[in-house]
Amino acid sequence: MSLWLALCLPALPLQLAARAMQYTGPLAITEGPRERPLIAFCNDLARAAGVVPAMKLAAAQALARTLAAVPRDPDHERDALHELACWAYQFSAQVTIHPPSPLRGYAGQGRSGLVLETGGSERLFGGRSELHRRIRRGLASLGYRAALGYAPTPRAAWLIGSARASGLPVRDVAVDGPLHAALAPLPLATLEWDENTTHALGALGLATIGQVLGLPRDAFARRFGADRLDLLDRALGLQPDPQPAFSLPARFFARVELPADVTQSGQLMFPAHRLLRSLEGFLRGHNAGAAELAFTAHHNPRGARPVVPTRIVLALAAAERDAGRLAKLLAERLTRVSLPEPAVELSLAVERLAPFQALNASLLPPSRDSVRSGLDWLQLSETLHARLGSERVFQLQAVDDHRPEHAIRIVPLAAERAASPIAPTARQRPLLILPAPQPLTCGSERQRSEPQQDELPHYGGELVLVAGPERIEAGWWDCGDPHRATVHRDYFVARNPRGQTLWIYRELKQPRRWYLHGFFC
Amino acid sequence: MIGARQLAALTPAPLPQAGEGKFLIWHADDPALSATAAECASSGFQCLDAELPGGGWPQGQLIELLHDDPGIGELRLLVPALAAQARAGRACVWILPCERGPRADPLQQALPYPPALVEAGIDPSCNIFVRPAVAREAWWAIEQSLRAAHLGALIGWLPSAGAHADFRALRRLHLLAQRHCALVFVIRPSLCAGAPSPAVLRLQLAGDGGPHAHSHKLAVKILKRRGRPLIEPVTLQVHPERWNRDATASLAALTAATVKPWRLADALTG
Repeated sequence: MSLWLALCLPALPLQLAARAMQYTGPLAITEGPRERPLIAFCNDLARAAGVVPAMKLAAAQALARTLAAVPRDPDHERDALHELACWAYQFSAQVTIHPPSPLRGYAGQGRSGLVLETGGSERLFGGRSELHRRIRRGLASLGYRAALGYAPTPRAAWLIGSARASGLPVRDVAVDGPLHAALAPLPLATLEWDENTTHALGALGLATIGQVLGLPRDAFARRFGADRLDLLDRALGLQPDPQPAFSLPARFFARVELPADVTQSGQLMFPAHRLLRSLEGFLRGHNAGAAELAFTAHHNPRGARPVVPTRIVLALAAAERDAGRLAKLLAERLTRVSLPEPAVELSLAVERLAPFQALNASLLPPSRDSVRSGLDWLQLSETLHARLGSERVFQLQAVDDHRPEHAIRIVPLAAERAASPIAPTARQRPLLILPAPQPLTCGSERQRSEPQQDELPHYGGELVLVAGPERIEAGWWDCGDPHRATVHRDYFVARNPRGQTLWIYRELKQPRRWYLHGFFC
Repeated sequence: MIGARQLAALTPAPLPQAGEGKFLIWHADDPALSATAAECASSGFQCLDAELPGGGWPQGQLIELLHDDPGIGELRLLVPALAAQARAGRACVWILPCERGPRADPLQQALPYPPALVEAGIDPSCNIFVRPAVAREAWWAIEQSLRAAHLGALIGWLPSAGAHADFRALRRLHLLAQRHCALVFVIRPSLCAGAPSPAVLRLQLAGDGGPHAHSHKLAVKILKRRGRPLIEPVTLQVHPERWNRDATASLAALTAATVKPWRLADALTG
């Protein structure tokens, strides 16, 4: 048997506005035509001042001087529910958004939220209470306030959650529990039927769901419609209730409004945390990781000209999922970013998902000498990449080429270590090499334009040759490539009075100049 | 009053030598016994090992190498220890000299040469190389690398930034280095020799002239170590012995026996 959990978010528009603005005074959501806005939702402080739903905004502002009124945005609510459903997918494979369409009318008691099937996931998360605790903690970290209720059927779970959000004492129902007894004391308002029906039922003297369930079935169906009877049957589990399943999209997109204009890039970390937690839930639902995160900071349009949003791309060496780890990398990345204009909104888009390999924990305790270099190598390379950029962190590979400057290949960091294919040779080579050889001057060059035949160059003093010559003439096969020219050189090992041992060469072709190519460090 | 016989009976027992309670008593006069790090990696040079406390490079401690001119053999001094770490399969991080500095330095563009690393016994695939742009990035990169567990060795070139700021920054690196048992080498200019530093081992490197006017060996002066100070520098032969020739060879003498440039026309006419 399945167990359904309902996450009921009371006054979702109010929660979204409070989350974005971080305002601590009276707050109200307005709805309706622009000339006569009416109050749809108001928070406790506003209610204490006397503001009620369906009141005119002007009247409400007269009652509460510091009232902040935010117009209702159904698209924003739909996006928020969508994002929450993506996050909740990590806990259950069957997620339904309730209600399927945005609420219409002055739904002062209107509720939206999610219904998840959690009976199958309880064992994975370590028990029902542990799972519910995790969900509660996750919702709190995302900044939502929700009431949870569970029951064997989705509609009953929603009714219980909705009643709990109103503050009514209600019992959750486990599988094979007393469902009828739990639903009976709930008031009719939790059913969210339209006003006429509720009024008619009230006129009949019916106040609770239990009393409605006690009515004769065919008479009720005839008077109020078969669909309402069907709804009650589904809530009690007498009829099957297939829910439209939420399908997890392949790409992730979420945005968060910033409470105040952000001028420093470091201040973007707090809203980014929220986005990253939401992303983590999404990735866990997909059992995947993200290798490239694209943050976009939107700015206020300056007059009539729209300002180009600032794009911050976080590219990772391997797919990551953990929100804490991504936040640390983002913090390093943000030190390199400066915002040209104050930002008002931050959005995160992840286009491509990569398969994620979670780390296997070993049963045996790790020994002192165990070299688990896989994980830390990756973390270190990612941290260095994020701050310094990928062109400054690299590995070197030896290439089989006689020309010394082409015997090096700079490669980006590999996730795994590959063996080097070059076998050691007996020739002495310097440990440090200059990729672009530095020309050296001889003493007599100041008087004559060309160096003399036998003259040695100067570098920190007069040079003395201790080994050589080694002739390297190679590269004729790259004759067409100007960057990989043919090399005709005589290499020598030289020493100077300071104690440095240098690798210098002399060109064989005219002009026969001397160059410094490496240091025998 | 204590008589002579009783005084003789009061002679204290000798201190335990190496092997029994080695780390319980700190012997100030014997470098081999005054090690505080439990592990030391052999440097590969016996005369240097004899002077280093613990018989080698201390692991998990900051080691400073001070020198001015590149190419005197500072890396060849470290190569045996690095090769041992590479054979054990541990990764090594190189923080190369900064790209931008107050003076034009040839090392700003220099890269380690992989064939030379292979010849020295260091597998290039075990090493990460970082080229920071400015000094601040170099300090940061060293700090991050020290936080990684299971790091085998770290070699970092650091410029000098003033004695006070350097001491604080170096102490942070030293505390981070103590968390794990990696070999941490920091290469700094010679003018930092006078400034205080929290490193447990400070070596000043210079080329040793020898009887001739040209340097053949590397002179290692131990500026700071645990135990009694060392007065004379240790001279090490880091470069191949065959380069210690008389050094009076001129270019003409060396190129006298070279093969003439090969020309196709000459070969065809015989």
